[in-house]
Amino acid sequence: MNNDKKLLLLVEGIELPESAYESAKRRYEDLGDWFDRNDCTLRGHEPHIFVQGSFALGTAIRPTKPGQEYDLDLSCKLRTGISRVTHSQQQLKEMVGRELESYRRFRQIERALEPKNRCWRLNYKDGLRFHMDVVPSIPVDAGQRASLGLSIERHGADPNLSAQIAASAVWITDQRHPGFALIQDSWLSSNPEGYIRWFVSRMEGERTLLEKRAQIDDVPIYARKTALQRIVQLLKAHRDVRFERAPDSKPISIILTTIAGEAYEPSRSLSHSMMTILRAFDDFRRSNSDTVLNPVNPAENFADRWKTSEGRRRQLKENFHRWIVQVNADFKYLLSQTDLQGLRKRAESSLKVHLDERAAAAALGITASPVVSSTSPRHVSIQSPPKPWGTEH
Amino acid sequence: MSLSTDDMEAFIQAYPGMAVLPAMGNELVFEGRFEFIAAYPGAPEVTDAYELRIEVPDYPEQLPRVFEIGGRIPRDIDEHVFDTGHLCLGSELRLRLKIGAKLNLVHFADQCIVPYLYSTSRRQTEGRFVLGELAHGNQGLFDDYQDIFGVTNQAEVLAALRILATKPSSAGRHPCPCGCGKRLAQCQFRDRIDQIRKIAPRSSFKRIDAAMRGRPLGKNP
Repeated sequence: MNNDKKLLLLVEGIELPESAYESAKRRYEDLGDWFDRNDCTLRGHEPHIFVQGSFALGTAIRPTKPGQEYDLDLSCKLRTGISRVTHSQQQLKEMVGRELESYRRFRQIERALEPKNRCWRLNYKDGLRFHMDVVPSIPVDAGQRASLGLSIERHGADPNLSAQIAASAVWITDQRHPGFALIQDSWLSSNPEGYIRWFVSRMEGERTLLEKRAQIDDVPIYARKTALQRIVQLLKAHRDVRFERAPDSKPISIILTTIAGEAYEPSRSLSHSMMTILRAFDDFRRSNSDTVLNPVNPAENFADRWKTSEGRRRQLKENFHRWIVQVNADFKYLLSQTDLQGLRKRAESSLKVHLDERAAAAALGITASPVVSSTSPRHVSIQSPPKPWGTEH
Repeated sequence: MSLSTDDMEAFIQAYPGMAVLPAMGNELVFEGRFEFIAAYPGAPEVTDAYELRIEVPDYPEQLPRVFEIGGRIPRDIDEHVFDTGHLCLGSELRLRLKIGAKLNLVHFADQCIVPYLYSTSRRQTEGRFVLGELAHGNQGLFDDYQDIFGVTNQAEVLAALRILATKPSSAGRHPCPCGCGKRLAQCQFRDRIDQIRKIAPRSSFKRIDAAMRGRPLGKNP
């Protein structure tokens, strides 16, 4: 059985329906137009709306539970006229909020605009359950950009890329921040555009959607995908299934994406890349490391929650390690499986992907039956067995 | 945590239908389809699969607990299922003897889970536990412990448990449980006691001792 085809078949089962991409694109463009109109109150600040997160990376997947909402993450960057010495975080958030509120009324979106810690949430109510999280931001100042560029370079990126990444760093607001309502300079930094740029750089040489993606002004062209993107999708889907009953203990997507991106070698086959990336996760586990550095801001550790009391209570690190053991076992099993039934069963249990028997057989170029299992159950020969016991009636 | 990652890995490789799940407490949790082919000398081979959940707490303080979650085995004590839903694979000391000083999950599955499921599968066609079963309640435990200790009556079982619940340093001065009339230190029986001491912490023997005398300390494993 062709392992690349096998993995492609599995990716198909977790991919977002095309309608989700289309509707995401429509909504994001519509919002962009709103901020672009002549009487926009933010016009003087050159607002820029762009997609960030898994939609931008091309790694979004179908929610595991039917009826679960998709989330589309957007940035709203005000490119001029606002800085940490002129405005508080709260002021920035409210300025963006006012425009989102007028957009909500204009589009007659029923549910109220919802303030979250770092963003505003717009809840749509229609066929596709969707919400848009809009993160207000402003560019970081020149001095900050220079030192950030250097630290990214020291982390291993080439100088050109480091400078490009640093150029897109932003300050964001957080309503939990003690100085949220004050004019002061300890804002949180973030760099969603830079992260996309870094992710794209990991796939360099594979000129598909990527050059365009670097522009970031479009929802990803999902039709042409690299092995890295597909593998991240598979890893996320596997995580969602295995953590279905403990969603608060699961490893965050950016940790999976970063470890996979760091390990990826472009232009190899899908199955080869999968094995390389699985090995990288296993190496990470064996190293017992507590840090997954943000490649676009090496001062930030994506795993910093592991050491908090909440992280320890949820056993974030231990559960990440357990998941690594399981994801290795599951994909090695799937890749070594030559029997269609075994493949279908494991696709169902580990990814919730239902492979249609005939379609899968046709795609993999095999006959659906008769079945010779490639793995036999464990043989045990019983000697002096314990006798079962029970309490009194 | 008593189970190493290598051990966890070995288990899901040996029983590939089982998966390690995220956990919050001290225990590790595995769930999935437990498939096996089991042979017993002079008896038919059984190929079967059960949906199981296995909870592995800190060993040796506590024994692993096994639940059948596919609805095949009724929650009935005559089927050797506790009302909490976990399977009564055997008496505590017998299971500890099978496990040994260090828990190896593959070994536990082979030696303790598979025989139980083999019996259960055959019981469904043959109507009885073909590999034998213990009587319910303390009677079954007395029978099994008598066999494990190599003694001949319940009083000797209780005497042996009392010795096991006592600090090794003072145990030698007590009368030997085997009925020889000597002190433990002077009887060969002390080798048997020393062996059994290795399979459980003294707190477990204290608990078992109290339970067998009808004064349970806490709950059964």
